[in-house]
Amino acid sequence: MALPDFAGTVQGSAIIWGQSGASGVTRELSFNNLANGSAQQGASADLALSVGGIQLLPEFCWVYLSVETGTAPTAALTFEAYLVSSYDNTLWPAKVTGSNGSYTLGTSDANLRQAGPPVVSLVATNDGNTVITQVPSVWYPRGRYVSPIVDNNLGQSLRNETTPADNGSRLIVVPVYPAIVEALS
Amino acid sequence: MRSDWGYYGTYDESAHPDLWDGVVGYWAPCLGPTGLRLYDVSRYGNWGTLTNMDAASDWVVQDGLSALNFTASDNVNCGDRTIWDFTGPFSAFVWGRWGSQSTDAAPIAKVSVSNGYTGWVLLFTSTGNSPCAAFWNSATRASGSTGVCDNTIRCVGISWTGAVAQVWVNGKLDGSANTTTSPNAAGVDLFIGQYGFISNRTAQGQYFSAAVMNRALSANEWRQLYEIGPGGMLQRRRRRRVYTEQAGFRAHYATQRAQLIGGGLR
Repeated sequence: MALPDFAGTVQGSAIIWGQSGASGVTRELSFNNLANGSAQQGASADLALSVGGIQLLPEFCWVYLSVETGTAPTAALTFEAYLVSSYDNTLWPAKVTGSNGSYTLGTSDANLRQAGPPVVSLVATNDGNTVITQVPSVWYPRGRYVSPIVDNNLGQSLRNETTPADNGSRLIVVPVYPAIVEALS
Repeated sequence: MRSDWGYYGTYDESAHPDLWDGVVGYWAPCLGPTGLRLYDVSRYGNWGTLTNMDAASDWVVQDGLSALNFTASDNVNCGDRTIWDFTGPFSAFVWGRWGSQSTDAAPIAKVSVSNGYTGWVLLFTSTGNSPCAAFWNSATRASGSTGVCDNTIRCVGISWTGAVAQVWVNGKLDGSANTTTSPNAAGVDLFIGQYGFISNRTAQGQYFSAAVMNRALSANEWRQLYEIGPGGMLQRRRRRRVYTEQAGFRAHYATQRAQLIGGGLR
């Protein structure tokens, strides 16, 4: 007797933001030597998965944040990542451009507040020259395209690698797609 | 109810969307530490700044929940927004755990001390195991009767219906006073944990969540708020896939996929 088909979710390809040329990076976001109190935005990414000509969108995404410290930050200070959505890769909130570059926080973080609360708030340990990683979050996209902002509140700059491509900081978004699984008979 | 920074819901993504109607500020230390900022997870972006506080030692775990621990002079300043200058009904509540207090310590307040105490305050009225009260404009005071500063987790709040000022403790009405005078809170900052800029009126204790709404919660809603616990409003709703069989259709009649529209290639 044939088994019934069933509905589930499947993990899509990870979108990995980081320094240009660094291992595994698929979208540019320049973490290298990012100063305390400064923010950076990354290149936009398309969350759609083309299935038979239909652009399938994820139900949700897993979000991982790792940063490579330089001078050891004071423990419990934070580094935030924000994700903003666009339906057309053009209309972006919070003065995001969809391209890698410095991000202007605005007076009293006025620009950044338009991005809503952060998706990940990485709580630092007192470790220098170390890649530290926060527990992943679940994020629900509000459009087909996504663009990140990262905001350094660690009290120290991120690591300034001699070869920037060696930088270990990453923001990783893993889309999770709905799927009807055809069971084998 | 436990939620964390990695997975929570607000408004229509909350398991309790009705309680999110009219929320104009929601701060949630129970979601976990966020350094020297206290994010507003409502749609209003009223981020608070931890003042006289330490990111390493003031984020604590109390009774299994993440919390902010306020000691003398500690406060979170959320700035001045006109959305909190109410001329109509409003509510504010704080989930926390407080020990013995000094007089007029305030878990949440938007009040001008230099301008005749205009504004609104949720405060503890006396030293020790104090009851709490709603207070504004040096005239209106709705005092509760129950001591709430006994080192147990409490949900304390105030409402103004437009005619009655109320104070609520653990989902029950604890005091009220008739007034049609709205609180005039214009031009001053909203503080969590302190009576405006008066540093010796910090309501010392552990804070799990705080919120302001531009409507008066009903008695049922106050009870519901208490029943779902400190992080209950942030519980994410379940996403359900629902499958229904079309009426009159008998699945076993379709013996081949090709008999179904869009039935696949095999």
